[in-house]
Amino acid sequence: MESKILKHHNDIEVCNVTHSYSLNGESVEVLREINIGFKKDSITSIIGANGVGKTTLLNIIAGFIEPDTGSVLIRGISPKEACRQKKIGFVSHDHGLLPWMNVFDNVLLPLTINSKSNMHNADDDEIKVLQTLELVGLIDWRNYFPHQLSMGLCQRVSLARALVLDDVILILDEPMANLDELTREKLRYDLLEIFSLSPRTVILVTHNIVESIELSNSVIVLSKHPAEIVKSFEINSSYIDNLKKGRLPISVEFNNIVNNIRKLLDNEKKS
Amino acid sequence: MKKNLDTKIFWNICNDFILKFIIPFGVFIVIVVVWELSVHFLKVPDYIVPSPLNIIDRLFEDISFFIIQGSITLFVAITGFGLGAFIAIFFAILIVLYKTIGRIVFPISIFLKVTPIVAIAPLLTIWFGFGVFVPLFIVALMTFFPILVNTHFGLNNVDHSSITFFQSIGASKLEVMKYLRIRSALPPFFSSVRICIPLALIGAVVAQFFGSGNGLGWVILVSYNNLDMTTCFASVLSLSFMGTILTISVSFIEKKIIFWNNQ
Repeated sequence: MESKILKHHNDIEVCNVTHSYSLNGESVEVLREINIGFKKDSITSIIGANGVGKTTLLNIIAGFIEPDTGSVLIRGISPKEACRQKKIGFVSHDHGLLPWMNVFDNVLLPLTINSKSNMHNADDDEIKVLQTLELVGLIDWRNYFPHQLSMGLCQRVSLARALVLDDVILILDEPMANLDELTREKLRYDLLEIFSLSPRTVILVTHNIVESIELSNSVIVLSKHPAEIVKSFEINSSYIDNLKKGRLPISVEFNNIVNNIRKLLDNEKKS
Repeated sequence: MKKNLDTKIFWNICNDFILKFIIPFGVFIVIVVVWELSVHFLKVPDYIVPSPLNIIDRLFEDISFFIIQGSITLFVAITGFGLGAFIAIFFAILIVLYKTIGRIVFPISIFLKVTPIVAIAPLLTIWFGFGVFVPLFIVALMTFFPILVNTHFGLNNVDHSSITFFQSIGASKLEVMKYLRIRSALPPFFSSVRICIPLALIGAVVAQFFGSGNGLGWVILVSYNNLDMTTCFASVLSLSFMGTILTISVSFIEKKIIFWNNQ
């Protein structure tokens, strides 16, 4: 219900973002006039073919790249400033955990780095880490090292490392790209569970249509070369509810959306 | 079935043992025995090729002498290496933090690298005199470059996703260095250390040739002048022993420190 009240309150505003790379001296337009508003505590998927610039868009939203024109505002501040205030949790397809630290220390890391020492309480931090590990179901694994864990578990740790920060915006860059089908499915359900327990604004980049519909409140389809927003779908939350109950989300409506998105992506490929 | 499996495992272990220890060691023994016998039967004089038994005799006859001279060489090799490594690591970190410094340091260090340091050893002896300083300096110069290059590579060759994570929480350059880059550089650093152990020993011995007045290099030079090949070989044997011990201990330390790399 909360999300309904705050429906028009956008957490992230992407305004007129255009970006191009130079390739062998030629300028290649990657993103053209992207306008997106990400609502607070909602999950938005961005879907598009390989290499259309989804990751570039994420990097611009996270402030790693400056766009040529246009701007991004995260809760009214610039992405760089948001990083400095630790408002962004970035999960990429490789977990990026530090191999010499165990799970606990890896999750503790965002709290120790870039923190003002006077505001800092080590005991509070440890409690927070334990709570987060509990939330993602890793509490029993806290003393293990990344090389002792499977890819799926590593990805979970990576998620915990993003979630441990207070009130963070999650940016997930194909978080399940390297996982096998069953692990993906499990992680997908667990993600929904986690977000229903502690709602976050989530941006999810994926190239899996079913996954994008199942997980999110809205799906944005990007076209190819340069990437523009073709269409954005609002997803009825009943699929999410079904999933939570362990039922398969298959219905006529669901199939229609899948087919629509597939057609859009397919057309883009032909043109 | 279980008994079968046990015997299989037993045979595997035996096989492993034979391959790893018996065969290399056996070949070594055979070479030494052939050497001993040929020296004995062909009546080769000691000042051309001494027999292995005589070498070992010589070594244990004067064991305290060899230990003292050996420790001087070892001290020079390790301290010189430490000095070179320290400066190399310092510059590698600096270059990663401030790219401009690399433009100055790299050309100079490549110039130093292509110059055979050993060739300037006599010159250095004239400038700085006899004693421990010139050998230390030479060893440091010889080990500087491999460690600089490998450490610099390791500091830069960092997991992309980890860098993204550090960026996303607004970590400073120094924090990335402290928490991520230095640890990532450890594996290449250790491989450069393994390259540098023989280099450090070579540097120490050659530097001691030029009249340092002590160390195994000096012992080799003096025994060569006296046609005392037995002492010469005994010194060489001590040097190989030291090199082996150093390599084994570095591998041991490496395995302990970089525990995440060797599953």
